[in-house]
Amino acid sequence: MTSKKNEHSCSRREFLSLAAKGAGAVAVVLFSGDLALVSASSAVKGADLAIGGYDPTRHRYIYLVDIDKCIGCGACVRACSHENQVPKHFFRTWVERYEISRSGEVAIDSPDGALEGFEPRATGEDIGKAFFVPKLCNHCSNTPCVQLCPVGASFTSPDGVVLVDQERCIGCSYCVQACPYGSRFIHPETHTASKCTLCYHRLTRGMTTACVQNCPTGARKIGDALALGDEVAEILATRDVRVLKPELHTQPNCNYLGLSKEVR
Amino acid sequence: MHEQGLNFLFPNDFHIMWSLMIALYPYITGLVAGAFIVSSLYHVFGRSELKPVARLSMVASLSFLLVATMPLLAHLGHPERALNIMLTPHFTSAMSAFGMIYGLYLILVLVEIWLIYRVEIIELAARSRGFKRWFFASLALGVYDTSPAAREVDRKAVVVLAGLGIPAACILHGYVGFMFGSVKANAFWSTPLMPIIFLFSAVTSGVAMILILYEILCKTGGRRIDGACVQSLAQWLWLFATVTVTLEVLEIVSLSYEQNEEWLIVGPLIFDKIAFSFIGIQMIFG
Repeated sequence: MTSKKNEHSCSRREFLSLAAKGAGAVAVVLFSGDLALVSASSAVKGADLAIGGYDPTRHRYIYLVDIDKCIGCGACVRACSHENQVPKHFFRTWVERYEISRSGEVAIDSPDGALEGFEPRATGEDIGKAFFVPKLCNHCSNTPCVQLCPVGASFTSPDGVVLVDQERCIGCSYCVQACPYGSRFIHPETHTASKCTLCYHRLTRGMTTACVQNCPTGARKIGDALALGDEVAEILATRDVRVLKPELHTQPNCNYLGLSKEVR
Repeated sequence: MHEQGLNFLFPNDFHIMWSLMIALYPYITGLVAGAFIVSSLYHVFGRSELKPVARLSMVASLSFLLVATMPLLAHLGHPERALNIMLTPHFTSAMSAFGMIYGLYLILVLVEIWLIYRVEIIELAARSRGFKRWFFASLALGVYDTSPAAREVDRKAVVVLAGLGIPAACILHGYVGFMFGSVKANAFWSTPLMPIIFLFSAVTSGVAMILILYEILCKTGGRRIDGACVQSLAQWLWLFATVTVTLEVLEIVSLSYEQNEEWLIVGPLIFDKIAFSFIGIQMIFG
């Protein structure tokens, strides 16, 4: 009986040690596979970036909106929508209208993201001030969307642009939840996270963004902090500019000239 | 200065991205964790009056664990890439820990259930013939030792695993709470209390689920309901429900008392827009 028992407890020990070895082997395979994938993807990215002589490490994009110049025509929204094939009722950029009465009542609207501009509103209120606030992805330096992405599909390129790898995104929309500015959405056709890319396909070819190019008043500007004598960099250095929701410490790279305190 | 434009939604936010499927997942992992705690009350803390439901809660925990990922897969835009979370995790994201936490807990529950049912599996294998015998024999994993000494080893291992399982279950569910609580863009979620609220509400719903399941199984199986067991479950349920409601109220009260900007958003939200679903469904029915 004892010998039989020994035999059995021995088999259990063997089983356990075998199981431990098996688990170890699986872990090794998974881990090495993981490393191989990571190194392969970074190699691909490096190769992509070199194409066309564009060097992302030599640029640092900064965006500027001059509130006083925006007339709410919505040309930027239409240009962006067309350039980037943005699906209906989703927005990579949009314009908000603020109307603040003398008693402090704040009314905000953005009908269909101001794709067709704004209709005049007869509120009957005694309006103290009214202005338009163009919005887009803030390309934050300390962005929650990149931090939260579980698979690393959201990333910040060396030139400061926050992008989404469409091949890698699993469409969990954690980033959509995490963006304090509402600038992300899940594309209804690709089912992946989509957002303003600062027209990266244009920037890397030496062009400006669709919204900046189509703004009739120059309310939108894009600059390069690493370029000498850059206009936007000069404004940031010398004028009173603000960012949206600074208390969240996301360090936005989209700056506003003449931003009123009511803007959220 | 009342109207601060709080009714304004960003144009992209008209589309609700996290909907029913995302609400289901924490509910199910909550049941998983809650059921496990019930079985641990018996296995680790020796609450022998809970013996009738100890095994039931383990099996319930495993069952809910196995289906927990289904709503997530239904929610993902690209479910076929779901394994990327495990294969290429991005470690700054709370969500990337999912594979590890879920996997470890799954292994733990499987091993514990195997140890609990090992003797039955062997006896079933010995009694049956043909495919059934082959099936149960393979479930026994080649170990056929049912001696008292071996059972004692099993029992001790179960105690250790059930003990380890408590923090594991808490992590499995508390981490889901953290995922919500760490979204600073959402004032209502963004609180360090979130994982704790999640945990206690999980145990509450887990205990309630076991209580209902036990009564149903007894009624349908024609077995006598153990009064002491139900009594004990009801007491635990009351305790955990009390703590849960206290925490939830504490969160709302402190938000309203601090009068921060968050309250301007959360206050009208709770008492106006989602009053029915929050107070009615979540607080009273849930």
